[in-house]
Amino acid sequence: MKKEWKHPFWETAAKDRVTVRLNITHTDGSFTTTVARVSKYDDNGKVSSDWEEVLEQNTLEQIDKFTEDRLERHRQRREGEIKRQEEKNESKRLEDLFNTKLQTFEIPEIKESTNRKLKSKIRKSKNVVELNAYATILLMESMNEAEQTSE
Amino acid sequence: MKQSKPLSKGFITVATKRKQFLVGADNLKESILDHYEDAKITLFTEQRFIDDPECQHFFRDYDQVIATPSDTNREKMWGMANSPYDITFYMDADIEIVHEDVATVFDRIEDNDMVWVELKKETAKHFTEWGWGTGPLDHLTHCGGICLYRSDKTLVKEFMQDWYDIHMLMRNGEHKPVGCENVPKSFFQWDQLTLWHLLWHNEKYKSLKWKYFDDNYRWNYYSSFGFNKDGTHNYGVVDPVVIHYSSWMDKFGDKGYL
Repeated sequence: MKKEWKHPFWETAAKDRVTVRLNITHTDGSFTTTVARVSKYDDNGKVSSDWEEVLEQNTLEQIDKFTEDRLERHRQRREGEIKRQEEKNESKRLEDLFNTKLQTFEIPEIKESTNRKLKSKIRKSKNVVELNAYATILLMESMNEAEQTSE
Repeated sequence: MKQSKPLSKGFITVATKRKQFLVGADNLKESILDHYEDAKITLFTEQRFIDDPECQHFFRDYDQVIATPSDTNREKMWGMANSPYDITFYMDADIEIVHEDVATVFDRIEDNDMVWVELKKETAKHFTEWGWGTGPLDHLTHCGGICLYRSDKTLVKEFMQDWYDIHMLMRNGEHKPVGCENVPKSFFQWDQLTLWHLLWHNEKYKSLKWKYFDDNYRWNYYSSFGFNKDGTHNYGVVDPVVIHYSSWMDKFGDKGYL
């Protein structure tokens, strides 16, 4: 039977426990692989044989490196997930803004308005507050025009 | 010496089936005019909308409004085959123009018959279906949402008409052209498959000269590609001209606005 302890990383700051991939090639030629946790000391307080095997196959510097690399991978994955979620939220916000714009352009007074400048400002609004502000100005303009016409 | 007439240049879009698409087309037209006030824009829509008094406000400021022969959601190819301009930039109705470079789009035709946006592998996850194999052409290659083309050339017009006619046959399961043997059935619903076939496998159109836009996705930036908080965009796109709100839109207007 051949045991290979691959890519161990420290579980504790005291460096007395590792998580490691254990590949076993059995005497009948079959192969098994598993993730193992190996502690430095056994129940009797003696250095365990598994621990010694791990360190025979991996230097302390290598385990330090595997640990650092793993932390870096996790950090990058977390940052990537946060960035992806932020992008998704921003895309959704702009999709919603686009839909709101189209709804705004269906308000009769805005639909009928020939004030291209203000309509363009509505279209180019970066957020709902800006959009509502320009839409309100256009509606007030339309109401004022209607009042003047009736006078 | 005989002087050649300058080529006419214009934008077209198509809105059929539902009024919501007229709203989208109206927004597209206005967004073009926001950035290019002399633009000529033609709308293709159904006769019933053209005749509807309540729809008249949708038809302001177009160069022309032309009735489509039918009411399918693929009337766009018919519209593309019947553009009133010599050089045409077609865009889907759920697009918005956000950059003044739209005024320079016609210069990008150069000596080509057609200019397209490529559907790149790194963006495959954004599409319902993209590929069916590992070969370099085993995927939908061209985006059908926009196209810059020489609509004054007979062969190009025939291409657009064939795109329309053949797609209808393929979609209905009445035609499976040579070259599509390994394409899964589900892909036959997409007009991009017919486009793919015509461009890569159809002998009649081998002589057409086409290319992808040099700054590819700048001319069709899908909203699902993402908008970063710092105002930048993804997939190497800087200052997109065309934003395509198709991915998360309810195309049939039953849930969302468009």
